[in-house]
Amino acid sequence: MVATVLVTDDAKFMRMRLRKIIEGLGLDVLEAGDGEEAVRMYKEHRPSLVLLDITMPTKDGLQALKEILAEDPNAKVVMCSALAQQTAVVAALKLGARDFIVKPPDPGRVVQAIKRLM
Amino acid sequence: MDRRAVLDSVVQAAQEIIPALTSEPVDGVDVDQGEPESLDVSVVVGFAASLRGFLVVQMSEKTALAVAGRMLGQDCRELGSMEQSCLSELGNMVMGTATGILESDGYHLKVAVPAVVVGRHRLSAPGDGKSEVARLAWGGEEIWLKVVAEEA
Repeated sequence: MVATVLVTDDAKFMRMRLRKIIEGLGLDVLEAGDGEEAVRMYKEHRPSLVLLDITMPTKDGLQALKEILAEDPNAKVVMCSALAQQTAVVAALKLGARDFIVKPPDPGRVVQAIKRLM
Repeated sequence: MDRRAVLDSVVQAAQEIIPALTSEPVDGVDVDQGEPESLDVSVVVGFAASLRGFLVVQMSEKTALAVAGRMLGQDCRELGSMEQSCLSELGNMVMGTATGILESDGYHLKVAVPAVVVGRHRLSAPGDGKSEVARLAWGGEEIWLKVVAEEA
């Protein structure tokens, strides 16, 4: 079975950009447009990896991260955010994110993070 | 922290982010250019801390189509949902990167989800309505950055 990555970002453009990179690795991609949808889709599909933006409507990425890890403490979540603040990075990693990619994402950096965790 | 510090960080961020997204350099920056004429497209990103206000990235429809086209690697003829998403993400990345620059100077800003406004318009400013403005030259086009803020 092909591994699946759940890409969560409110920006359609970012989801498209990340999808191209991930599909290039031969992986399947699911998309969520906000944190609430990400939590629901995680419970339903149990993807191998989640890419999660921070600043999103309805439920932000940090809250979604908490809820995904409450559901599955072994979930592999990589934050991918334009929020380049050190405090945001530290907060996400303390909560249990495995990595943090700053936008705009360098394709090589995305591939490296995915390969390291899968 | 004041409006000018936010604008300086936004300009620095835009000079990094716009070329990264469009593969086209920013050719020049003019600060204190006064108010832009009402333009067709605005990307509004709210922020709050000791200052509260918003960043507006403003441009003509022609410029917006050129920016989205470069981001998508294709010709864009109308500002549909994908093109607006490109512009929204550009505003998000510029403001997100600016917050990182400000944080290294000891300031912390909370940033909201961007909103894109399409169609000739003017934006009303809150509080005293004072703003700091910079004009970027990009690909023969103009992109305006406007920081409107007041003490929280």
